[in-house]
Amino acid sequence: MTQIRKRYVRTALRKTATTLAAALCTVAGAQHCRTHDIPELSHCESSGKIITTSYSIGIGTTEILDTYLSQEHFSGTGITFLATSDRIRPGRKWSTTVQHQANLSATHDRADNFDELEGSYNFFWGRMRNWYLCDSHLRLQAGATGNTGIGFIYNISGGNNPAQARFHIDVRPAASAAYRFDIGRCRITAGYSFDMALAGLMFSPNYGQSYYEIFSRGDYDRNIVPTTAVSMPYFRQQLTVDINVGRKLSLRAGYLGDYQQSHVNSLKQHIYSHRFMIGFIKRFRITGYRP
Amino acid sequence: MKATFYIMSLIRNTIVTLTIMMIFPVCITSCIEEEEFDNSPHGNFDALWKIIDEHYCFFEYKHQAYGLDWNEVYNKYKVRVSNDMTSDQLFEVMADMLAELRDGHVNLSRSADFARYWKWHENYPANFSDTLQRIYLGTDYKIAAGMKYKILDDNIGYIYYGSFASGVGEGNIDEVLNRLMLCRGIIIDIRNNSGGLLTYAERLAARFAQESTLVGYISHKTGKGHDCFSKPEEQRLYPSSNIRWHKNACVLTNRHVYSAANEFVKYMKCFANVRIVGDNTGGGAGLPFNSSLPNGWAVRFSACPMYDNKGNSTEFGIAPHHKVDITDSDFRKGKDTIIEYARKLLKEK
Repeated sequence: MTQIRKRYVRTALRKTATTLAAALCTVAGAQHCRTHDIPELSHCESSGKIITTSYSIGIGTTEILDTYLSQEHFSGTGITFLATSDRIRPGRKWSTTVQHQANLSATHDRADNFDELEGSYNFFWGRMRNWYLCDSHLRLQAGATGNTGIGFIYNISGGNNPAQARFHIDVRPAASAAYRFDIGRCRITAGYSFDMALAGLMFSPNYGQSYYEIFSRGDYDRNIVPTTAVSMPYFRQQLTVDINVGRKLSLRAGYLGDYQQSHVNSLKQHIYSHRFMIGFIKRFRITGYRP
Repeated sequence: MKATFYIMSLIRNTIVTLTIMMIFPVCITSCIEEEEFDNSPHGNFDALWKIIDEHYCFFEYKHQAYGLDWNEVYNKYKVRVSNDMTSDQLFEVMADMLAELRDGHVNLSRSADFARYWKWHENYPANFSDTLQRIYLGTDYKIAAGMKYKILDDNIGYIYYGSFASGVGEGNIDEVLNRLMLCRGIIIDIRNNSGGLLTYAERLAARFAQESTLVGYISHKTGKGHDCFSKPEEQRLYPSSNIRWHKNACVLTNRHVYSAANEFVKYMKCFANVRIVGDNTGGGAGLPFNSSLPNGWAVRFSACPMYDNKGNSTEFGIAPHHKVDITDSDFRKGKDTIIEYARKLLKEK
């Protein structure tokens, strides 16, 4: 008898919990839909993806220091191409970001006697948690990004040390904020984002080691170095202003600051680039097809 | 009106917030910088001294060899520098300072001049003459990339490789060895070859390796200290999979054989069928690196030391098996004493 009563009580509790949970989920879902009430993301359907892509190109200054090549600082001009993609399912809090960034710079020393060329490609993949505040005018994102970068610095005067090959992978915390407001009939979104390398691995010759030893002879000596935010304080930030020019198209202008630094194997390197960026943003939605 | 005020206030607050957000990460991110010297005579002098101090690889070896003390060198030459001196005077002081290293791989260059230390060959007999070589090569010699070659009257093959900066491919070496196949032996004359790419030296030497051969060691600096070096790594030559030379060979050397050519002699000296004939080589056992000064002058220095297969430095040259100089009497007769000696050696064997 006692057992039957216990079973009855358990069943009643389970049903109550289920009912409460369902009720909470419904309220939460309704709240979620309300808080995501940004025009671009106002979709409460559970299927499909909303993809925001942007393509920007920028020009600006670059400063290079690489003590493997020279003790001198080199400065000049560079261009950057940045493609970003942000994917989120309607009603979800997590989004996926993918970025491709390519840099090319031509610099010279202060005496204008020697030149250094710099090129790099970086791939970023990140998962971001989204918050929508201020009646969905403010969107905050925080998460983690994985970065893989390859590149080179070529010093035209070098003999056995003419160039520095660059390769690194790292994990970096990332955050962004975007605030949307209207001026007249014009919708504007101002955004800021940054990411900073926390830990990773990078390639570096070991101080005075020549590339002849590494690549021709295969003599490796601490050439893949674990890095931290102290030994490789990479930091990237972007300030953007997006102006809607159509229902799904915006124009973008902004600043991209990319500060790549490392101090490993007693070699110091930094590449500071400042770019004025212009581009466009396109939003589209992939709808799930269910026959 | 109220709406405009609201928007303006919002924009202002947003800009302030974003500015703070941009400055904050920059503040917590430390800058990685390197001390930058003034572009003045003192600044350039200090920059040059520091580059050599932190990267040059033969301080310990030369301290033992002739008592080089780089700190003393600084004190000796720093007093000669003043900020009102001309660039010619500064260049002279710097060149004198670098000459203390007694290293042919150490140079300072600017558009008007090239500072060098060449006493390793200037103070010795040349032991090479274009006039004499022309007698031996004549005009009907063949050219395969960087090599000139010919079969001499006594069926000895003669190859002249004047610079390892001139490339040579596996196909070139195949063709040359194929055409000299029936010779009794070959002479590889690298006199006046002051170096170039190690790859070409290795490529040619590998044709004489019949098995994996330890030919030396190579190391590099791992830090700024004068004694910070990596563990020496073995340099091995592996037999080429193309045509290899099994008969006897002589390598002709003089004091002008330097750098990659010095390495070639180091490799060849390890093979039993090869004899080194002529004068000591000039040396140059450090792989040179380049750097630059605030005023745009370029500096070159030895960065990675290389050793022979017994672990000895070859920075000051390699002794030949047979020390031979060109004599005045032979020169007057139009004979190259060193080539003649090698021919005799190859015929005797």
